Amino acid sequence: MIKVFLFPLLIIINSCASINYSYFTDFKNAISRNELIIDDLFIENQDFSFIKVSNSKNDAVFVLASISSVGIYEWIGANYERIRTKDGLILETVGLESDIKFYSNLLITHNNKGIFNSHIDLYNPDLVFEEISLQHHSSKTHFTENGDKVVTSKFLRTSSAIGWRSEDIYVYKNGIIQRSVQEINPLTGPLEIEFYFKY
Amino acid sequence: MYKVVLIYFLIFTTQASSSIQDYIYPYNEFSYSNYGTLGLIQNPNARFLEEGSLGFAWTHNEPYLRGSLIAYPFNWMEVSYQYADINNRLYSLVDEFSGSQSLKDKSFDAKFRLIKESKYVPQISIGFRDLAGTGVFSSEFLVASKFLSPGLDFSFGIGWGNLTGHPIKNPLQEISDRFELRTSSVGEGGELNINDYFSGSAGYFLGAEYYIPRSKGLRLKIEFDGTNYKTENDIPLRQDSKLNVGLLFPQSKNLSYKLNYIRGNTLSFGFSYKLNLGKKNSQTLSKQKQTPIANTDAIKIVTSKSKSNLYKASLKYLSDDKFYLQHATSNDNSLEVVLSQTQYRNPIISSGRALNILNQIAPKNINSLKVSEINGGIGIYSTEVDRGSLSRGKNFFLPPKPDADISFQPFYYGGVNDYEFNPKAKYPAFFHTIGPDLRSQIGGPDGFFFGDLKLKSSSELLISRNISVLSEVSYGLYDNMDDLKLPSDSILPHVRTDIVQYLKQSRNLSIQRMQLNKFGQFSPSIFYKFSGGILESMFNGYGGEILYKPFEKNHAIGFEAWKVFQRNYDQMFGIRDYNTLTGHLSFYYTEPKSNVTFRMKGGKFLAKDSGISFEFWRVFYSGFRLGAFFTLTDISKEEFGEGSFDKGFYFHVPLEIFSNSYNRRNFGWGLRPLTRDGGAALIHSHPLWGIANSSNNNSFNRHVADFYD
Repeated sequence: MIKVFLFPLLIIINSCASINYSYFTDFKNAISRNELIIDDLFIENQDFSFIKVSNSKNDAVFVLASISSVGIYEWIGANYERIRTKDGLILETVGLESDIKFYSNLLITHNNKGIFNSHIDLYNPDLVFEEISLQHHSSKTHFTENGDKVVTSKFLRTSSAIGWRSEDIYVYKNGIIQRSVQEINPLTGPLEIEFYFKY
Repeated sequence: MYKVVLIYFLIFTTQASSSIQDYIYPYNEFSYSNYGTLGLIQNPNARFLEEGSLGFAWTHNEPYLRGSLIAYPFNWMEVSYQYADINNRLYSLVDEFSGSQSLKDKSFDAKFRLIKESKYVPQISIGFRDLAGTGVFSSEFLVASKFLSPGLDFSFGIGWGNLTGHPIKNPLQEISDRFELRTSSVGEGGELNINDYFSGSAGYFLGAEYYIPRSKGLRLKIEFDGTNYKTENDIPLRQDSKLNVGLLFPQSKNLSYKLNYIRGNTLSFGFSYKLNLGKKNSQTLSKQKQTPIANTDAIKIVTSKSKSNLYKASLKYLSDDKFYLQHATSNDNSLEVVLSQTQYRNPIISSGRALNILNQIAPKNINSLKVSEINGGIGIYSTEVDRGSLSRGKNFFLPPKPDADISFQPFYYGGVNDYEFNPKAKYPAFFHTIGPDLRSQIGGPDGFFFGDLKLKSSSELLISRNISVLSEVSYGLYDNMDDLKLPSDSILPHVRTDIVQYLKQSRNLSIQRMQLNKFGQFSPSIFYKFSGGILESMFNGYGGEILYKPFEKNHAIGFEAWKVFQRNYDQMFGIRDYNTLTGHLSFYYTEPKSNVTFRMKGGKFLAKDSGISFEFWRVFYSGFRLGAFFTLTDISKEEFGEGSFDKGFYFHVPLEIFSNSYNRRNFGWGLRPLTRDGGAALIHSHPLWGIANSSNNNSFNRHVADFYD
């Protein structure tokens, strides 16, 4: 008799009506990449220019907060993280897993070639006022069907004191940065930024 | 003498610390030896990881295959548990019993820091290998480690037992004759061989770990091997060279691989993975901030019009953040709400966020806000804050000062009559989660690993605020338990040792739990629970629990009593012909600085044996919990069987550590080296300690800096 009563109850309270798949979500979050698809609708719904910042684990959107008189763009993330860029190069970050700060503002542009030196601070782990250089490595130019001029420049980022050597990639369309890939810390993977400007 | 002093200063006067070193020598956390504890290749060193770290190390080192779980309850303590597959010996001396299975050895190692490294003084630690196992690998050591330069970590030590590859006279024999002979031979395991520690001949060992600069953390290890291969494992191993060399390749700060050449004739390899789970935000950058409420000025105008508007707005905006308002009361200048929530484990974050919501929507005349939380109809705590200091503190990220800006109090839940606003809750209410469930039987004579993967549905049916039915039902997806057949040899009632029967006969649909609970409280400090039904996987029954836990104090006293009936092996509704009355009196004390809790639990256990169980656990800032226990009862070692007494360890990892949002889910894992019947206690769900634990002034003060998280 007890079984007769308990079995339906068991079925009811274990019914799939409102199953919470939380463990699967946790597992998925732990192993999968948090991807953000930027489509035309997403772009249309944004009120301001924004960037999509990606590392090996996550995609995130940062919204344009200000533009300085020397062309430095400041982007703000959902948890008040900040990224300052100039022509695609990340000059400073605040609130990321590892942060960087360049002391020199005027570095690369889409048509600059040569070696650009600066001092940097790195955070987590902390490193204060170490020399870094960005050396132009190569550039390729092509034109799209619409006649847009697309320049892809590669720079070699080196800081010999700490054995940091990596490659930066900057893609410009008609002189405006579209995409960049760069390491902001030798112990983390590269950050990729896609730029979406709204005028 | 002068030379000795000079060498000492040349060797031991360099210390590694500088930010640039973290880039020149990245991933520079200490690494594991082939024995699964921090060390060089075979030799131990004096190093530790940060407290709250948990590691796993796997090594193939012919003839051994060793897996180790390593924990760091404190900065000065390393404990590890390991399984070693010894492939040149059979499981038993009786061939028919062993079959083709090789010997599996379980061992427990511990290391303690005696002196911390400083500019002129090396770090010195004392350690024990195979502390309470069969003694196959047993040894003790005293070891010193010192950074000679930022990238060179040198270790030197003296060992006993199997660390006597380079024998010297045991210096302790000068102190006492007791250190002259090492008497015990390899035994059944489970006991501390205290009389043997540091006895017999001694030996020395030394070596160094060189962190190759600017090479992404690559390290070279070289050592003068201290292992005595003639005594270890009873079967001597050939040693062609006493010099071992190895390389460590860190993949990240957590994962590293190793390749070693040892004894001049053997290549060994392995990997290790370690995580710091104790710190706040150790695995993610930070948690998602609370979303500010829009148009708060307009909301405040509306809530100022009537109390009803204020209550409804509180209900809505708290609900948006998964706080469930149960009751509310307001007067001219104060607002008090009673809520329940299942999202936040940390009461300071929970109350901080709820108060922040109320602060954004309450009219300007309200200058005092109070949030009280209930769980299962039990009042847990109240947090009251002066609204002015709340706003000022939030602007400057200054946590409120306890007893000045904010007060934490115990909360006695008296029901609906105490409040003006009592929104009607819909009962019965259902909550479900579904997830994987892995059961395992490791290291038995039938095979190393038997287990099954089941799909488990956990449900809670709330009949009223304080009456619920908790159920756990699972369905087997995959198992390898066909060959699991070793019967229990216990001479006690088989309250746990029929585990093989339970595992094998509950492979399909089974009910782990179906427990009716009624919770309540007699006062702010006295909680009670009555339960009945299927209480755990092996016992049905009924009974109750009462807990006295004063809010301001660090101690608590609990009592529980249960009438239980052993369940059928198929884990459905039937029962077997065994029942008993079990119950315990428990005393808890939490040391506030380290947050280590000690529990002493005395009474009658499931197999009708009487005794005391001792349990220690530490809860780290993140909620990560490490614990260990042992139980001594009035049965003899012979009656208990292999292992001599019940003991084990466990850890609980809050899953929110890996997430950027808050949740209360845990991943837990525990291990008893042997499943025996003596000292076995009922494992009923929702013990009162777990529910009322956050009702504690210490936990509020400890986390007060998180108030604005």
